Amino acid sequence: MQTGGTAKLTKEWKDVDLELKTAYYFGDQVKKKDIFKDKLMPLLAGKTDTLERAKIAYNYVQKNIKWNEFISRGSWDGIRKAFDKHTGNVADINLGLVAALTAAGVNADAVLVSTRDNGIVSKLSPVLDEFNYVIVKTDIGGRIYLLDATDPLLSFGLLPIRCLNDEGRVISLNKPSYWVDVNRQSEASTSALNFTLTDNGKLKGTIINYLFGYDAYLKRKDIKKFNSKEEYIEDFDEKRPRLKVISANIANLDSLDSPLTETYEVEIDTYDNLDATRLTFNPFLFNRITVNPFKLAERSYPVDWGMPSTERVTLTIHLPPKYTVENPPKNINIALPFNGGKFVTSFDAQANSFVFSHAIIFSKAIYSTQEYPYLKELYNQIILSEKVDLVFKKN
Amino acid sequence: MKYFIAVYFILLCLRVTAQQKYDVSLIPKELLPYASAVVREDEVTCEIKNFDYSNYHIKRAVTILNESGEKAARVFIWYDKITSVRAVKGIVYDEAGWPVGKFSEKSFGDYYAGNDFSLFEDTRVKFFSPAAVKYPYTIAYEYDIRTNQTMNINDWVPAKQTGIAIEKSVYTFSCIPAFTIRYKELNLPSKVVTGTNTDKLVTYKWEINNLKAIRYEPYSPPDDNFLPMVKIAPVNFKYQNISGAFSNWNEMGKWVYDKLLTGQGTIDPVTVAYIKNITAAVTDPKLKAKKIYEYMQQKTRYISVQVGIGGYRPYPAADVDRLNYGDCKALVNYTQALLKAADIESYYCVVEAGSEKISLDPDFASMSQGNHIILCLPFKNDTTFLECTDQKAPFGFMGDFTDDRIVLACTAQGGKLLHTPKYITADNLQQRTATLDIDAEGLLKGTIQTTYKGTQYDNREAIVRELPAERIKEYKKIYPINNLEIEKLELVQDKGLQPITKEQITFNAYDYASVNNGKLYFLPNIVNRRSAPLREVKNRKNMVFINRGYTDEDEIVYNIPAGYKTEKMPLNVSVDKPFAKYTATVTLKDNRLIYKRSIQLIEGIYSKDTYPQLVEFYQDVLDADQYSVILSKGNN
Repeated sequence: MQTGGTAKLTKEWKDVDLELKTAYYFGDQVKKKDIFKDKLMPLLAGKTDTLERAKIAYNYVQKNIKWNEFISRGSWDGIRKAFDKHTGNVADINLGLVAALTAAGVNADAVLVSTRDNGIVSKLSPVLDEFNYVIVKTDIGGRIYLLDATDPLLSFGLLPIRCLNDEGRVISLNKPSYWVDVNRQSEASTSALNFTLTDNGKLKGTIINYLFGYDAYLKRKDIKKFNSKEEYIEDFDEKRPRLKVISANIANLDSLDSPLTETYEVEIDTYDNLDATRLTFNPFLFNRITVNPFKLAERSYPVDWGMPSTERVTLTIHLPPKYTVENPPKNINIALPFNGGKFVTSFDAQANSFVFSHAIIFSKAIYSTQEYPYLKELYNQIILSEKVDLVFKKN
Repeated sequence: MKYFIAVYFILLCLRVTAQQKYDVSLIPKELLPYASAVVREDEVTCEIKNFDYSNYHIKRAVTILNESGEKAARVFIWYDKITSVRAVKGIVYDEAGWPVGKFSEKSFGDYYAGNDFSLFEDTRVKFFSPAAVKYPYTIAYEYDIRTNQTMNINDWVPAKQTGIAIEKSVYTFSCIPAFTIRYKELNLPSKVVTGTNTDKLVTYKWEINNLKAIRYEPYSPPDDNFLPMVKIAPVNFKYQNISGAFSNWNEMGKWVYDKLLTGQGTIDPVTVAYIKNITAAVTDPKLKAKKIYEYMQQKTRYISVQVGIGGYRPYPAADVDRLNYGDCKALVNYTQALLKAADIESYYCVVEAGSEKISLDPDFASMSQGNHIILCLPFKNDTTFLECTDQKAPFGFMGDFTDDRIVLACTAQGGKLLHTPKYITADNLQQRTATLDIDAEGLLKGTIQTTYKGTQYDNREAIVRELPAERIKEYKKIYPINNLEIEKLELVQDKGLQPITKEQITFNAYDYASVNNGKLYFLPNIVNRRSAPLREVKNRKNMVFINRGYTDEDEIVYNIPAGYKTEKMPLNVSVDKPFAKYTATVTLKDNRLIYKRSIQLIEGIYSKDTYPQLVEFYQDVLDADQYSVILSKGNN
């Protein structure tokens, strides 16, 4: 058509920024802080710490709207209606969160992201259709927090794995938009196992698991599927026929900012008796890795785990007086190049006991195709060392 | 003024003292264990005032206690061209039973609800999921359904799902005296109450109260063995303009044959001539049938189209002949027509298909049983059944989809109940042999040969359909051998009357054994390891049901490096139970380490006290499967 006017087909970010800031489905909703003023004021009374105020606003949104399982980069009917009905899509909830944080006097901006299913967005020119999700960014005390209020079990600053994908575009009402790395969280678990091998062939003792970050979130989700902690513990017990739970405790189930702690006092049927002169024992009692997740010789795409992870286990075993460990394992310390991660074991024998600890650390969320062979080999080494049994010898 | 104060005070008292109907604290305490939702009341009425249509009224209130109970809060209302929905309304209540939100038909989403493999169905569903942000909460709703047929009457199954307790559930069926029903009560604590209501309708009422939540119990028998339920079927009925009457399978089979099948089997004389031609050289009727079946397989594709009576009546054989596609009914009807052209008799059979063996109920005939159609060839002393929707299935092979169950053959002489072939424990055989070399660095190489028979014939079906490069990727996933490099892979299917899948893999895997202080550590059970225990179930309620038996045999010979000896107690495990057998041994002969494993699961129904033994059995298998060999050099 020749009308004499020009229509820009390829836009720049400043055009997109303007479009978003004035769009009903986006910018208009972010400005509606008045919706939250009356509700938040009583909760915020007397609170002056910014982080505390931010957490109160985040909590309020988490507890007052339920995600309808739809993802979207824009609100459908406006956040007022969504919050009235207590249900909304991702954008209703998180644009609402920006407004709620603003109402609490906390800086906050909406961040457009593309979920892992949706692929990585192009950086060459802005393509709005490539984004399908909105999260929230706030800077408090020199630290960046990324938030998503779609799940009441997410602790402050934790994102669900679906949106941990490359970078998001921060859409600020008063600044040009910019990129932010969304991979800022981690998962970690630390377990302390302390057992005594009894004369009737059982291992008696305690298991303590401390779960941090995303690991804690996943465990909380698991536990909340049950009516009570007791029913969860019973299920834990029934899934492990050789293990009997004598008593158990789960702490910080609802204190989302603290590590989730599980403590089990257990008895594990290990040997029928202690008559044999030699007993074999695999010290990787739980979560033993036997199969390499990486099978291809080379990869065309990076490995993207979404976040770094750390797993540490310390196992203490008290043996009956006559027994010693015949083949104390060598300590292992295998690392990936450029501090990418490591597998470490350490063995320390005392008179009638030993402490065996191991750690598997992946310090990056994403490993490039060049790093892939090292990653695969690290798993190979982990599997090799997890195959080796200890031998308890009767003297 | 005093008066006003008094009234206000009374109201205040009411508000404070009177508990709301759906107050969560009113749920009997004994219903809470293992319940993620409690059905507070569930009242379904079905009313039949003439033969043309039936009216249902559904009224339900469910309290959701935690996230796992969310599925019980969802409202699904199914309908189609002959079924309409009316007067949908509902309220969501908070923990104390105070209303917090309302919903109506316009709050519902409306979706296509046919199977995703269907080309077209007219089934639709209205769906609503409440938006309560805090547990517990209660959702209460009611709606009306009118369906223009009286052939299918909804069964009553008050508790289908695990984790849902029932406070009260009532089913009331009422009909004009001329409309008679048959019903069958299963696992019910109390029987039907019959009567006549004010509209002079005959009434049947079933009620159940305070039913605890069912827990998931592995190895449970099919539902009708333990769930309370009532099955209902009419004696005389109409399905739109088709009327019918039956009281048993014989009459039902006759009705299906006369009303739904007759006249659908005509095919073009050219096709008849072609069939006669291709089978002319074959004399054995079974081999003739095989030829025709294979012709049908290569000619047609399965496509599902289900609309109205089309859900029950095959479309004409001539159409399939022309279009080369059809659903199970149409393909069976077509194959039947082709066989008839070669003078081979066959029966159109209704079956409930699926891996769980579910039979048609021999003493209760109804159109609502069965979900699939197969073809029966009643040869003398050799009844063969054909699956007509699978282009790749061997002739006469049922697999675990339609094996060992009661089906209804619909014939001109009436319905006959037949039993499909059973594959017993010994038939479902997987046999593996391997000769492998393991060296002092831990490198493993050699060839594994495996054959699969009986229902295990299907084990590699998904892989067979892949391209060679993809097949290798799949094997790397299913075989837990680290660093598996497949050098050669052969996968062949023999589609004879006793079908066999044969697999041969030549491979190498470095670091299969871990080398530590000059010792070799490895698992001799190379690819057939049980990976997880069977969970315990305290206070189990159900019998133990082993749906289908099988046998796996593995014999693996390792040539170990010269001079190495085993350092550990040799493996010698043998478990022999009425429901299962397992043996595993490791022996060393010169430099040949021989691993043998055999496992058998024996189908059947066993007492619930068997369950802990089954748990123990699988744990023993798991432990033995994880046995690792330690080889050391020298004079140990």
